[in-house]
Amino acid sequence: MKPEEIFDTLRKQFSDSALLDFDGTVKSPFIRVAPDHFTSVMRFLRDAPGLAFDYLQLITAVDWIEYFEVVYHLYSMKQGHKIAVKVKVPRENPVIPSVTSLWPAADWHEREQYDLMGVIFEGHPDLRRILCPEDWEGHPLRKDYVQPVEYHGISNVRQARDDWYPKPDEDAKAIITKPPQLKSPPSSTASPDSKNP
Amino acid sequence: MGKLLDTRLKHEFDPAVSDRERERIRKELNEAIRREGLDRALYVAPVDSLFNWARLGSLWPMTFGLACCAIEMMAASASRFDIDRFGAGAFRATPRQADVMIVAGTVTYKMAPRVKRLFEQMPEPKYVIAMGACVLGGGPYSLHGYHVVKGVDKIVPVDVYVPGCPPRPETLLEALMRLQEKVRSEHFVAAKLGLYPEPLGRSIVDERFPSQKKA
Repeated sequence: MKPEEIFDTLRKQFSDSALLDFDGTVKSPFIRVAPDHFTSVMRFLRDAPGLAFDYLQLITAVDWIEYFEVVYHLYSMKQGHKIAVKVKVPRENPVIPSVTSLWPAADWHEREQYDLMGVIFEGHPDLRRILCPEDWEGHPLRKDYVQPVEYHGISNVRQARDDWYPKPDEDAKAIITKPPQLKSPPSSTASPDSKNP
Repeated sequence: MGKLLDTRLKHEFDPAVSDRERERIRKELNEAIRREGLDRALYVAPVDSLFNWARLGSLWPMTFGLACCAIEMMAASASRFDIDRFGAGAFRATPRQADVMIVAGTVTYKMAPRVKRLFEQMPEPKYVIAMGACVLGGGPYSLHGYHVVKGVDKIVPVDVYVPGCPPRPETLLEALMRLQEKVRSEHFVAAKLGLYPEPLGRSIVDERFPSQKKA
C-alpha cells in the first residue's frame, strides 16, 4: 500500500483534528498525529487488516528547540509497506503515552529516548536510563544540554597538547561554557518543519 | 677473577661509570670465567636482569577489549601477527593473573570506573598500554562527545601510548617491545637493597612532547 493510501485509510477512520499533517513526497513519508489521538491511531495502524503494521522499526526524537518531536517508524511484514508517525511533545512537559502495550519492542527504544532526550513515556513498565550511567545528569541530546565539567572526579577538559592539535582547549571551553541559546516561545508564522520536512 | 667480580658489582649501580666502561668490565669478567673453564656453570649478572628477562618474556595481557581497537588486538594475537612470539600471547581472563592491561577501544564515562577497578585488581608490577586515538585523548569524540573520557591517562597511569585509528597489529607489537625495554631497565631488587635510587625503569614516553613528561 502506498503512503497516500495509508493516509486515506486513516482519514476514513479519524477526524481531521487527529491527523494534522501528511507528506508523501519525502524519502520517509510521514503522518503527523495529534497527541490526544496518538494511542488510538497507533492501535488502528497495528490492528487494521489492510495496514497491519506489525513491526515497530525504531523510535527517535528530535529537539526542535520550541518542542520535541517523537518519530515512530512502522513497517508491515505482511503488507510490505511502511510509514512514519510523528507527534509533537511540548518541551516543558514532554509526556507521551507509551506504546509498549502495542509493540513490546518499544520498551528499549522508549528507554533510549528517555535517556538521551528526556521524553517521558507514560505507562512504560520500566522507564530508566539505558545507555548513560544511572547517575548521569541531564539528557545529552537536548540542544540546551551543558556538559558537566567532571564525572566521578574524571575531568572533562582535555589536557593542553599544543604540539599535537592547533587549539583544542579554546574549542573545548567554548563548548562547555556556552550552551546554545534557547529561542523565545514558538512563533505562529515560522514553522521549523519547513526547514526539514 | 675475584677482583674483576668486585669491580663489576661496584660498577653495576654506579651512575658515574659510563656504559662503555661497564660493558668492558663485563666482557673481561666473562673472558676470565671462560679461561677458568666455568662458562657453562657460572653466569654473573644482577638478580634484576634475570628477573626482568623472565618477566619481559611473559607479559600476560588481560582479556579486555572495549571497541574496534580490540579487533586489531585480536588480530595481533592470532596466527598472522602472533603476539605470542614475544611472550604476550597468554591473555588472562582475570586481572589477578595479568601483567599488562591493553586498553583497546573507546573508554566511556560509564566504563571508566570499571577500567580503574580492573587496573587496581591487577598485581604489581603492572603496566598499561593505551591503544588507539580514543584512549589517548578521546579521538573523534574528543571535542563534541559528551560520553568519552578524554584520555585514559586521566584514570590509570599509561606506560605506552599507541596512536592510530585503529593501530595496526604491528604497532601493538612495537608497543609491546617498547614495554619490554622498560621492563628490562627496572631495578626492583637493587632498589630494595639500597643499591639503586628507584625501582622503576626509565620513561619510554616521547620526550619531544613536553606535556607527556611525568612529574
